[in-house]
Amino acid sequence: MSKPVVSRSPRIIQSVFVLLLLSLFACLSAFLVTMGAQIYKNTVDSAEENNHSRIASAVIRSAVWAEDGGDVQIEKLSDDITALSVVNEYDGVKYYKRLYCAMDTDPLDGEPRSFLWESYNSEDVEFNPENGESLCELNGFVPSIENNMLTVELETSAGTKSTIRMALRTGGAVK
Amino acid sequence: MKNRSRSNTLLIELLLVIFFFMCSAGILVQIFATAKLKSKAAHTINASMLDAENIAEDLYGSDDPDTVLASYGFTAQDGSWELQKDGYLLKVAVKNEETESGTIRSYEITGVQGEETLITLPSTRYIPREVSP
Repeated sequence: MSKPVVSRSPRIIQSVFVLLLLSLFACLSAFLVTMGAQIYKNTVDSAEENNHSRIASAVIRSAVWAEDGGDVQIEKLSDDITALSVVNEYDGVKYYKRLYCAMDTDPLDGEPRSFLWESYNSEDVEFNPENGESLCELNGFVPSIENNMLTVELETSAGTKSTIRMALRTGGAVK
Repeated sequence: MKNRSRSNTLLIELLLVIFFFMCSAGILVQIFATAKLKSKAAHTINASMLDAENIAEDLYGSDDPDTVLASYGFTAQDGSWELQKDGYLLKVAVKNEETESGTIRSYEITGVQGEETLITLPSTRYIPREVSP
């Protein structure tokens, strides 16, 4: 009568061990996938943030350097939009290159988001924010000019703030 | 007997799977750690480049580099200026070269992390000598 009980005990231990190994495998794989996804997300977010701040910085610097023979101005175009404008005159007509922050629809998910825009118009065309081209996501864009020094406060979509300072070389730098 | 043999095979199979899984997990964790370090390094290079560009512009727009560097918080050390930022050190070396018609002032802004040089940004400004009419 007692023989089967003795032989069943190691089998139960073996089954429990197999189950334990299976659960260990499941837990480890879940942990690895979660951790991998989190690190991947952090890396992509960080790269995107670096990318946006570099694009914004490069666009602003190249816009001012390329047209620095003209006047660099700060224009309050509406309650929400303050633009950094570089004005040049060709054949008696003034042309405005404007950099500003405005809303646009994200092409990836269709959600409205704040973007850095660039527009180029002659003085006889009324400014419309949607006539420009959105360049990259940017939450904040606050330009100011003091003593021939241009300062632009930027805020990326992740909320990181940075400052760009530029010495205005030849332009009139009129406020 | 047959049942016991099947159970042992399953156990060995499971142990082998877990062994290979652990090997792959080890490699993956190394890759993730490297990716995170590289991402952090890219962020540091980006931040140091932005700082260096701003300092270069401020130095370009000013006649007195010492005041500009002091306003950023730089301290003079062995002929150059140094500022410890979050995760990297910024160094600025100023060199003046006198010529017949004026002064050529050269700046070299360097971002350093430990022993490694992250960025080097040279900048030069020509200051013409005032001539009487």
